Amino acid sequence: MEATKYRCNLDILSRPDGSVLFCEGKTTVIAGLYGPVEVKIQKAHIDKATVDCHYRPKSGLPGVEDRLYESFIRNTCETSLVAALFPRSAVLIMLQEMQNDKQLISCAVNAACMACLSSGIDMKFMFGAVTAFLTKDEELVLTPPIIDKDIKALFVIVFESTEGRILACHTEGCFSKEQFNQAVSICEAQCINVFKFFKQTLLDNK
Amino acid sequence: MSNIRKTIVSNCEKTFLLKNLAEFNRLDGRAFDEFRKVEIEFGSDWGCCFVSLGKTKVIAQVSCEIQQPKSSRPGEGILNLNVELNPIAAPHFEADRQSNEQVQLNRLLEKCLKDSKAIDLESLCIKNNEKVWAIRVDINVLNHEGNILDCASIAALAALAHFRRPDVTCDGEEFVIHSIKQKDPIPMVIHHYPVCITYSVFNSGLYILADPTLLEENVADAFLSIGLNAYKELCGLHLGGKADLSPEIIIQTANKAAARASSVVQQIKDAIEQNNEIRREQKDGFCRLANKRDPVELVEELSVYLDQWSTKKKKNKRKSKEPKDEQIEQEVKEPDITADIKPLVAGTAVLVPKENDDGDAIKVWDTSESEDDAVEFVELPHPKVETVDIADTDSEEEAVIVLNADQKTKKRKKRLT
Amino acid sequence: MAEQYKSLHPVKYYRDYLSHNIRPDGRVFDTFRPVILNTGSIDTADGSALSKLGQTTVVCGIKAELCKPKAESPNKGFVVPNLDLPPLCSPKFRPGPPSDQAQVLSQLINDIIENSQCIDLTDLCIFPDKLAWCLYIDFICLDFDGSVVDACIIALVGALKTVKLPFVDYDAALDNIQVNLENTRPLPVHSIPVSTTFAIFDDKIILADPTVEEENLCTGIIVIVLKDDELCCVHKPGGSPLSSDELLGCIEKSKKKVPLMRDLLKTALQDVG
Repeated sequence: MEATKYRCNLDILSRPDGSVLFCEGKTTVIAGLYGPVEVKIQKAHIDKATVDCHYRPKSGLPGVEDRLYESFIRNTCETSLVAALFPRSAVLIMLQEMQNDKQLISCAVNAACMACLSSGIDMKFMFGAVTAFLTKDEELVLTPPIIDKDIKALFVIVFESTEGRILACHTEGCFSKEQFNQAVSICEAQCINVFKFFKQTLLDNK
Repeated sequence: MSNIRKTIVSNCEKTFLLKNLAEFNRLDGRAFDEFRKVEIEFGSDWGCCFVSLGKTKVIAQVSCEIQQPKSSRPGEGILNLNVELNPIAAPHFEADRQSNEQVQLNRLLEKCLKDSKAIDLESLCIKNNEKVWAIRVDINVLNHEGNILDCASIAALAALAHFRRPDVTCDGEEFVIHSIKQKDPIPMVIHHYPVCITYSVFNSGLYILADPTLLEENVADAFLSIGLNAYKELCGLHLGGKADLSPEIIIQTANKAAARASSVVQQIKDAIEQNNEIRREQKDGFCRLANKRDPVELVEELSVYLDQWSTKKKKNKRKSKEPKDEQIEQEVKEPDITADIKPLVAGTAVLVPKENDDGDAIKVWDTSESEDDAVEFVELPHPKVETVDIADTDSEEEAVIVLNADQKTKKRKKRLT
Repeated sequence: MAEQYKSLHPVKYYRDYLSHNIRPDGRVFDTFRPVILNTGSIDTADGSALSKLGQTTVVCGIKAELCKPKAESPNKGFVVPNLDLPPLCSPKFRPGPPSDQAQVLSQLINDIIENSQCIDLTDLCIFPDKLAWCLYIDFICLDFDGSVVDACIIALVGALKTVKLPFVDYDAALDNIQVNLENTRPLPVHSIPVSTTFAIFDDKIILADPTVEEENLCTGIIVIVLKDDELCCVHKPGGSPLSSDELLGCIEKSKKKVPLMRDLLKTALQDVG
């Protein structure tokens, strides 16, 4: 199976504490992280940091669909960041879509993880996302098919790096339980490459 | 607008900047009328453009939709511009809330691009009074290091020039939108290319800096924004803030800006041509950005070099302030001060002004001419540290460390009795 | 005494119950609450249903309006779902624009409708490129007690089955629309999606059909939607990590709910004229 090519450029923006331009195949997302920073009193938690996520699409005003992506990434990051270390403060994660080749959600999650790593904020574990596509011929592939109509279902599964358990999951389209099981095992195998890539990038950038 | 995360400019920074301006220095080493480097990258989609002006980064995307035209203009298409100050660009930008800054930016950009009739809207008409193309330009600011307006105008223009809309055939009742595979998409018709050029004004026109950085923008008294195209036609003029400029200064600045405008427009056109050639082979788009190493990082070392630069204090000599009327050519240095310009590394040069009398007071360091030698280790002078023993007093401390002990003007720490 | 303990240490209160394999409301971990479904009671709407999952109550109303299809897809109508969480249903919602939670759940329901293909948009087209139906599906939560998505999906299917679209005579040349309210046809519903919500408590225990107290204390939520034997949505937005076996276990548990929901729907609809 053809593996997706990952590329990234750390610290591409000067203002955020951590930033990254992450490419998964042809899909590109820029992520930036500010944290811990001051928080509005209404949103402040006394025992942990408030994790907030903003996702901006490339064209058009942000809509209801983007809220779903935001809540997805926000919950994923909140589980992985040690929020209890920074009470009454906020951690802001910002994402900007640059290019979309159907792997947007997983690219955004991976970019968010790299931005957290690049900023140096305390994390319990790394998280990586993989997208699997179910084609019309009932085949599971990791690279997006060229024609949109060929895609029967799409799986985005986020794994954590310590025990390899599923952190988050998002699906589109219809599929059977066996196909879902197969998709999970394929994504798990690919996720090891994602973590290797993260570690390699950090070592290269010292 | 919430100011909870806004970093206020401290008085020290402000005075430092103004003092340097009085000595004709800019903090990043540029001349007063020098602009930062513009880099234009296109994505794999038509109409997607990423522009960096120094460290300020902006992404623009053009999209199109078929809509009913406005009743007042039934034969014209619609052009919508939208600049979003995303929270990623600066921590004090708020999502989903239009701040004053955002409204002003939107209006200035609209004046420059829409009101100047740069884009031909009549070519966007499909069927009179029924269907027209509505073009939408979304500009997202990614990093705010000063002068968002210029960067956004370049991005919007480049994106519009790069964009191709799908071909449409409309014969009577039948209406077909052709996909990219069926028929080649059509580029936009652009009459002229207007760009915005911004200057920061200090001290009622005493210093006019081109392309201000974030600190210069925050300290400035006013900003002058001029919209110009390659034919030296004025497309927009805005002077905001607390400054009173004489009309002559504005006209002179506009003349200088004209040269800059034509070079920027040429750069945009070259970038589009280059992209057209690359597109045939690769379809990677922004992935090329992932492999680039930002050469602007090397300028950080410049600040380390500048830290080393010291001059002897001259208490007797006072810098003569030039009268306001004679402030015609800002960029020409005073004939008394000579400067030493040396290339540092690829794309970077250092300018060290010399005092006439004693050239030894300034340490002029040897800069490496080789391009590979990117890193030079600079030894910062260790501050002399004096330790005062106060063990015999009531204080809990046994010894007190006196910093900057070699400076005569620093008051000695009073002994606690 | 138990009330004070519950308000002071809610997590410990729950843990004590769960260590005895029972939940404070008397259910075991896998049982879901009783479901009540009422269809077709709102006359002013073209289709309606009310569902009650334990205490969680959701009213679904469907209104059909005529509109012009988009130029890019001339033979497709529109389906616009919207979930409203008013201050009536829970003290944590304030009056004003829709909260983030309402928007996220609205989008989730939209995705479920699309993925399960229960409505075919081409069925809503009357005349290509000129006239089509636009179905506005409004969900109003009257009581927020956890598992709102489940209640919404049951109400949605119930309401869709009661929708009757009038026949429309359209004269393209004259641009004349004639709506015949007497002559109606039912909307074809192609599948019945069934949704189950699970809550992960303390990273270890998985509770089916959580109440709002359990949702507030839990460390993760999973929403699984099944269509007959196929899955159409597995949504786990972050939260405690799970192994793939545990996730598959949840899918198995939700499969058991499908035939029961189908029977409930049939029974509720057989009395409606």
